[in-house]
Amino acid sequence: MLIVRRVIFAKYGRATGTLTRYVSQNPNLSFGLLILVTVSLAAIFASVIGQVDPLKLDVQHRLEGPSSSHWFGTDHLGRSVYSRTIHGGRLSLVVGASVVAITTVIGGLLGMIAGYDRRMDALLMRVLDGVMAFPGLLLAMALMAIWGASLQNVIIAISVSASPSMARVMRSAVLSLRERPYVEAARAEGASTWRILMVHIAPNTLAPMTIQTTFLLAIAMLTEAGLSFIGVGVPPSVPSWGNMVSTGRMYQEVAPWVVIFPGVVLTLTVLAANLVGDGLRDKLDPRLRGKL
Amino acid sequence: MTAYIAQRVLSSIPVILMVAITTFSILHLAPGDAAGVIAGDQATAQEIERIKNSLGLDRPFVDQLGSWIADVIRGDLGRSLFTGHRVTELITDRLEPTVSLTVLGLLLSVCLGVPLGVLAAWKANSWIDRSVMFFSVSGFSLPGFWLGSMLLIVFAVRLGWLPAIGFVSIFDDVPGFLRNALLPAFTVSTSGAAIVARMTRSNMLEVLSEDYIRTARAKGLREITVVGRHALRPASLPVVTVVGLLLAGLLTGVVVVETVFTIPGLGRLAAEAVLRRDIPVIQGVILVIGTVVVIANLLTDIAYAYLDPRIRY
Repeated sequence: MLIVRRVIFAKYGRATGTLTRYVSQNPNLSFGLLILVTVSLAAIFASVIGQVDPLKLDVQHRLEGPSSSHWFGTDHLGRSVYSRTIHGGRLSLVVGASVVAITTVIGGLLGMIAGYDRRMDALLMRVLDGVMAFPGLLLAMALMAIWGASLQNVIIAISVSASPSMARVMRSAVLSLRERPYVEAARAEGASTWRILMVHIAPNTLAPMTIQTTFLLAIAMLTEAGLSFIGVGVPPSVPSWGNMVSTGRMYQEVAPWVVIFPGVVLTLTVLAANLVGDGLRDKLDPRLRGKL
Repeated sequence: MTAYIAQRVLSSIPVILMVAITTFSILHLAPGDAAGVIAGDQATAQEIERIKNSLGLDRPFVDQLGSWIADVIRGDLGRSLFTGHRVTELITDRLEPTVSLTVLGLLLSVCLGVPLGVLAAWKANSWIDRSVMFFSVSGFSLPGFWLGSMLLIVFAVRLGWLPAIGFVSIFDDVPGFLRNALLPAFTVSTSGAAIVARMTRSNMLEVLSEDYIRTARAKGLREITVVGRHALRPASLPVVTVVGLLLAGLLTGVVVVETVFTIPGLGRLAAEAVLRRDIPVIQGVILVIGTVVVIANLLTDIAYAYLDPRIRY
């Protein structure tokens, strides 16, 4: 066992060692990671641990309190709140992860172009400033009104409103990297712009981009829930934390569990993503410790 | 200062233009035929034709954009597809609740955030600091619609201390306004208070390590004077820079919170319009809110340059 550990340590060097130590010494970061891992596992194995079908109606057992057969109680149609919360988590994570992937590619590319090419910078930044002036949820709402309720449209609408912030982070990272001597050296050697961007600049933007993606994951999950709450998110038949709270509100006086459980799980998941973002930032960019 | 203001005002114009272009383009992002989408599945060909005509969808894009912007400058945002009312009238009718909630939310954010940030920095690395910072992360993790629903059921339904729904104008009845607006304003202010608390804390930590603070302590001033008078002012000044950011966050919160507390504001108007696909109303609301955010950012920059002359150069 010891030999194996030594081999791993020799291969991956100090980086892995310090990161694991850092995580174990930072209670907020480990708490955040623990919750995110738990929610992800629950989402992946939703159909196994979900007790019953989240869409199964059981009108004889409507608005029943938490019990051994329905851990989080039942809603106004007798559906299991526990099962719906677990499946809602799957939706929330799918939206969050897809938005992060899309904005990293699109926002990242736009930010790279703006940061590297001075002529494009002014134009692109004005366009992005214009999009950023809209509160994210409001812009996503307007797009959903045009496109209609579907999972795919929710993902695209949130990605559109979230890409500018990603582009800004990438742009400021590229702006500071492009003047570095090693980039100049690569340019002097005749490397193509594409090669400079992808081989020399992109890997060094990993730290700020990783931090931004965790915060974005939190924002995307909140926006998805907000859209579903207003009624323009995924179709009402799909369990989502937002639409569970929205329909549950009508019964919250007699059956508060219908609203409490999805809300608590949503808050914890978003909190976890924010804590991980904070922890990573303190580690990867200590200058920003405790700032915004 | 005049040169700085002129330069900032000029650089805001293209951004406002972009806001307008984005607002206008939303209609044209519809899959296939925009008029068909608005009219719905059961619409007849004549109905679609009528909508096409009233929105000018049968003309070229640049042509439409030009005349739309000209209309907007004249103060004409079109008519609601659903009720036929002028969009400008719908917006002005709904403006007051949103403006008063946002302003109250902004005040609450600052009044809660600054003292918490000062406390955390003063007791840095203690359990007080850690709990303030934890609450601050929780502040922007709490979904407004859920927090609002919870507060409503506890304070309005169970305890009956505050009214659950509705809005009273501040001009008619000040105590009534406060009773109605307290829960929604608190709900929207949590994320703002969190941001302000974090900023104040990190600024305060920087200021507290300055030489003049050591001097103040060395000459025997009481701790409360050192922190409250000598450190607070320079530490809270940069909070001004995030007012624009806070405003965008507050307006996002207001949209959902108005739905929770049944407040007839712009957010409610937008939510209703979105559900009915009433495109001109949606465009009107997001144009107004986007422009307000740009102007707020402009004013913030100017105010900060005025307060901290180093920015101007």
